[in-house]
Amino acid sequence: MTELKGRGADSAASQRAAALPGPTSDEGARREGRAAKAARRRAARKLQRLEEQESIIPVELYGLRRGTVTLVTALAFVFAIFTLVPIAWIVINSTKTQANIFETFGFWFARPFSGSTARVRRGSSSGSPCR
Amino acid sequence: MVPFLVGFLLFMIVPLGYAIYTSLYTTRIIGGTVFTGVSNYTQTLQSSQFWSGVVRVIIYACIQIPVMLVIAFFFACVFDLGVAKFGRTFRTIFFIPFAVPAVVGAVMWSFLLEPQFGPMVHLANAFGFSGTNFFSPSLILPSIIVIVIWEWTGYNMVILYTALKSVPRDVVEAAILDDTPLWRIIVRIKLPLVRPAIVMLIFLNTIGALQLFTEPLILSYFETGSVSVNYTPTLYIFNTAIAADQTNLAAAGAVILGLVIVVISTASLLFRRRRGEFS
Repeated sequence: MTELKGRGADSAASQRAAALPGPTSDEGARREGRAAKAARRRAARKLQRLEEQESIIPVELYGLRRGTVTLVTALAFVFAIFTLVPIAWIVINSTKTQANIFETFGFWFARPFSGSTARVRRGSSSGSPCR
Repeated sequence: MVPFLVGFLLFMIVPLGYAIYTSLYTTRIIGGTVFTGVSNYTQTLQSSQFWSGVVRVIIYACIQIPVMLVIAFFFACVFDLGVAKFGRTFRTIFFIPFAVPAVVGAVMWSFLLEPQFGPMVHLANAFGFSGTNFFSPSLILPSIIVIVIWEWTGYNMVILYTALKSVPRDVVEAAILDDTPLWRIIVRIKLPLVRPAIVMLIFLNTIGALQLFTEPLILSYFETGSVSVNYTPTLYIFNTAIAADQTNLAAAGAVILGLVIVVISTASLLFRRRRGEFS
């Protein structure tokens, strides 16, 4: 509500400023308008953050036993690991060669990276081709 | 309205009508395609293969849906109340699997659970469960459940989180003033107020469970014989149409499965309307 009122007043002020005669004052008003706009945007963002914080009841009010927050955070962390492990695996193994997917440790990178193997295989004339 | 109707007609009504039309005929090597009425339906309804798939999917739903909804509701509550630190980050992480296509998710998990080279098998060995085979007949269903939970918990959590956000703040404040412990606020205030969302999720997930297809299909490519051709109703339909080349029989199966889903959806609508959730 206050924010809306502020915006209305500001725009009225800028209109008044634009109506003033003279090129220099017009330039100044435009610059001032830009600064004011940025300030207003910053203020709005701050207000929004404050409102968001206000809408959440502070955790202390629930009268929780000590360690509950830590325990729950730990549980969320465990589930986050469960969620991320397959994605980490596919990111790591997308860099491996076909053979290394099965022969090397699944959760770390292994040389040669599949991009470079392709180059080596194409470059070497000696030795039998892999496939 | 007209563009919508054209699309609806072309992509919903016409295929549906064609499936029903196909299901009424039978193609034989001698004699060609002949009208056989409901014989495909009686054959499907009498086939134990079809029903064993349905029973398996129901068992799967009875385990997967409660487990997933409990996890989703727990974390939705925790993040809504702000009891866990870094709630926003965790919420984002939990939602990531929804962005991964089901096929990619299933392939990823198949590699992880693979009996010979899979890292999860090494992990199980390290914890003393040597010789664990996640693709064995006794562990294949739990494996599928884990994969589906991985894929869908974040999505369900976000829906419940949004529902929890609409719980009026003063109700919770009043409960705090009465010295209500947190678990009671959750069970007695939050849970009843988001029951409509939970009921909706139960029905959505039940329909999804009846259509279980991608995960067992991908797993069957990794370990031949781990997933039978009639493992789920949709797999039965797929294999009847593609592998056994009995399109007409498969169409009858599809229509029956579709009817089961229509019955469940209608039941859910009636159930929710009677509770006055909408008119």
